[in-house]
Amino acid sequence: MNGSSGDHETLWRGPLLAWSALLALAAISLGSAYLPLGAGNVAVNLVIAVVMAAVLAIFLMDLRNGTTLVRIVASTGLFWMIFMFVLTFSDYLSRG
Amino acid sequence: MSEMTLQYAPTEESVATSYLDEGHTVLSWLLTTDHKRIAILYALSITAFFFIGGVAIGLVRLELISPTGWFMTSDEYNRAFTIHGIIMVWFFLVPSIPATMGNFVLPMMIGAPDVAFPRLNLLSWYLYLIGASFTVYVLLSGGVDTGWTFYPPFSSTYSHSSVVPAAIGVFVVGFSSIATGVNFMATVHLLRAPGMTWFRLPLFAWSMYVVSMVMVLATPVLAMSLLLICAERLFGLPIFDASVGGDPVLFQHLFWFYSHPAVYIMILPAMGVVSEVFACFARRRVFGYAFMVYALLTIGVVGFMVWGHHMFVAGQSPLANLIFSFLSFIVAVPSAIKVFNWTATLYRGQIGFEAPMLYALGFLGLFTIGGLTGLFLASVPIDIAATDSYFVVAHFHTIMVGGTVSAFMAGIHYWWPKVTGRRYHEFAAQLAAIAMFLGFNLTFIPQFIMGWLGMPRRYHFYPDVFQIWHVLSSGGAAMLAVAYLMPLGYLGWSLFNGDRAGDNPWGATGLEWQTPSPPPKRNFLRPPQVTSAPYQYHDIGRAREEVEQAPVEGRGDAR
Ligand SMILES: [Cu+2]
Repeated sequence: MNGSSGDHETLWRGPLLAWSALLALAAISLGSAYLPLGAGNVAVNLVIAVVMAAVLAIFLMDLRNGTTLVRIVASTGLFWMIFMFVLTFSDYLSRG
Repeated sequence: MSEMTLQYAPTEESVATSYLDEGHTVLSWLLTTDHKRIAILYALSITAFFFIGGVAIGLVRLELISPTGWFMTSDEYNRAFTIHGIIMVWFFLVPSIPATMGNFVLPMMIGAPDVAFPRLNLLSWYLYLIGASFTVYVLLSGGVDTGWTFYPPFSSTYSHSSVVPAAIGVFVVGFSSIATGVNFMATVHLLRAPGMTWFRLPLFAWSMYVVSMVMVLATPVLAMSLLLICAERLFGLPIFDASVGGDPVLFQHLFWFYSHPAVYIMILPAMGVVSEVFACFARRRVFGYAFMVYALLTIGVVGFMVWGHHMFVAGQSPLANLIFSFLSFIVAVPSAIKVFNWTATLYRGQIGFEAPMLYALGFLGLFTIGGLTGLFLASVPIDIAATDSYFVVAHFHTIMVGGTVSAFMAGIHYWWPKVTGRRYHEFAAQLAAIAMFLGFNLTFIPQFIMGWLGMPRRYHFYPDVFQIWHVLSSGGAAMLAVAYLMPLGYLGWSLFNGDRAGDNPWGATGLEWQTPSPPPKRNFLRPPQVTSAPYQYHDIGRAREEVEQAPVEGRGDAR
């Protein structure tokens, strides 16, 4: 609707690139599971997950071209994730 | 994204053509992008599923008349109550008010010619149909027996029923509610008529806005947790399986992160409907409008932080139980504010007991009972005793059936003249409303009692002492069935034989009433201009009594 993705030739290029990046990251994530890193596996997977989320937000959701309002709305999603994690961990981190 | 304009009716159009006359072929309906026609497509589909879900629970209530069961195996019984739950929650209650009345009325209320994304709106109905056809497949393939909650390890490992098709059906229908939510949010942000500021929005519009946020933020989590169940069931991915390091309680966290807010997806729209109805039929401005708005927003946000109250006996830590219990008490505060404000709206009003008002009053009483029994269950020690008992069943049916379905009926009757241009038979509707209220109480008060006495849910064999309560409850269910069938009769009759309603038979002030009934394709003949806050009923008073039967020309917002 605005920004650089206006014309039809390039409309699909960004999302397609982002999608292939996500698939590649998924493959790396799968591959890394076979490396004997111990607790390191979890760390690697979390890093990959963060990169995936960033690719999603910046390119697939096109937040780099979004208006402030759209960015605020999108960031509420992040805020809600904080609810989810904090309260879920209130269970897991305090189990006897 | 900030510049969006949709065309109103062409200015040269002077005679209103009703949206119903814009094509009479089946295709003109199936390919429509008119929000009003999509609302009707939705209304027909969810009504069909309401009665399918109703048949399922009818069989359950019939089976429960005898303490030893008499025509179902335990397996069949499990499948009957599961399909009732899945259909009623996802194929009736979640879309009920937003997809029908929200679709029809929201754009008109804010003075818009359509929703922001009309084709996405149609797509959402087709997504509903695709999800629904999976559910029909589940029915035909013998059903699913996990309960509507899909808890592992039963759903992921042990169940031999159609778990995956059922989960996919719910997964797909979730996208239809996300589409509706995105659409409504964009509509409220971008398509308000000149002068329609945020604090002039009718409370129904506010409730649609808040419920859209909840839909968009919560539904993806449901989609994800159901996909994980499918992944574990189909491919053995060890996510919830404790024997290989997974955690079955994690599913409950994810599932209820959606499904508690889903309670608000079901009840917030109902709150919006009754706010309109109380103001109109008490001829009063809604008491404490700003607080009503803040209460809706608070419920929408805090509703996301209470899900753990479903897991007090699931192995959740005592600290988490404490936190979730406390937060659940907090979320009762804005709900109570709303109940008090509705009551204050009625105070010294010129109250009329037309059917929409009867349904709305039923909502008020039953929502209060449902909310207060929810407080019992938010308390950890009481919940530990009452978990998985009929007390819980009665509690949430009081909110969802006593609350949401009552408000759904209130809205159907209130906007019926708007949608069809016809009057329904008032006395028949009043009878149905009273029968629904009495039938509801006869069904669920015995369930509160036997639940408190220890009758567990989801069993069809039970000790003889509970039989009297089950028989009473089944009698109430029969009465409810009659009360639900009655509107099909008199509303159907009204479609063809009802008196012409005029544009604004209730003398209501909402913008949706300041245009012909049924409305023209683009809703308004001229772009509306809003100059005042909603609910200016003081000026009009109970005008329709003074002019006898003559329909009152609505004044109010659009001047
Ligand atoms: Cu809950």
